[in-house]
Amino acid sequence: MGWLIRCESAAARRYQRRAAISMLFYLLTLWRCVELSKHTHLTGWGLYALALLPAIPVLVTLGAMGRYLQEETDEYLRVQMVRSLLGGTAALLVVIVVSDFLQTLAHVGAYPPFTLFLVFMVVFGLTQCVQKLMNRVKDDE
Amino acid sequence: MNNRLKVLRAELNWSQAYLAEKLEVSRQSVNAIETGKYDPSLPLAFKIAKLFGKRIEEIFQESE
Repeated sequence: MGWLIRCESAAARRYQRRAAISMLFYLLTLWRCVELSKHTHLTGWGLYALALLPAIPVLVTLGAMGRYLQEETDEYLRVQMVRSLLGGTAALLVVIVVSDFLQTLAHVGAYPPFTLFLVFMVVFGLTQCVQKLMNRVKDDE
Repeated sequence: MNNRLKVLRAELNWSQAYLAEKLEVSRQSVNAIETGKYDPSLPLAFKIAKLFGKRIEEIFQESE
């Protein structure tokens, strides 16, 4: 399994560290904001401001991806990152379109809360894994 | 695009890892170029050609 998490470059190592920290901040911020909202029963602008807080680490995570694309000198690794971003974005848009359609025309409930970013990140990660699997090299080659 | 990278590397008895180190790219990149999954940019193609002491067209050929 080492090949799955092994970093191919210094830029990739920096990206993984930044992304891990921002994801951890996302989970902590989301958890704290939900708890705060339940206990304080905020409404109006206060609630809007609270809702914006978990979006900050999301932007930081995407910023880390953008910075990786700037710092990575290996063009093939850059292509892999772009493909993964496309995979994640495609999954996200499919979920939104299908969900909106069902909500509007079939009056079926929406997706569970806080799942969209998770969907993006899971498919983004899976696309990375599939690419690494497809391009796996034997040690004796 | 076809290329003779694997043949040239084998002639010099270089591993993919060694070639990757020489080109300052990842081993995945070398593997992807050799297997035709990825066509390198012009700067990288020049770098490969310079390393093997050949012209670009001696290494990379247009697919028929």
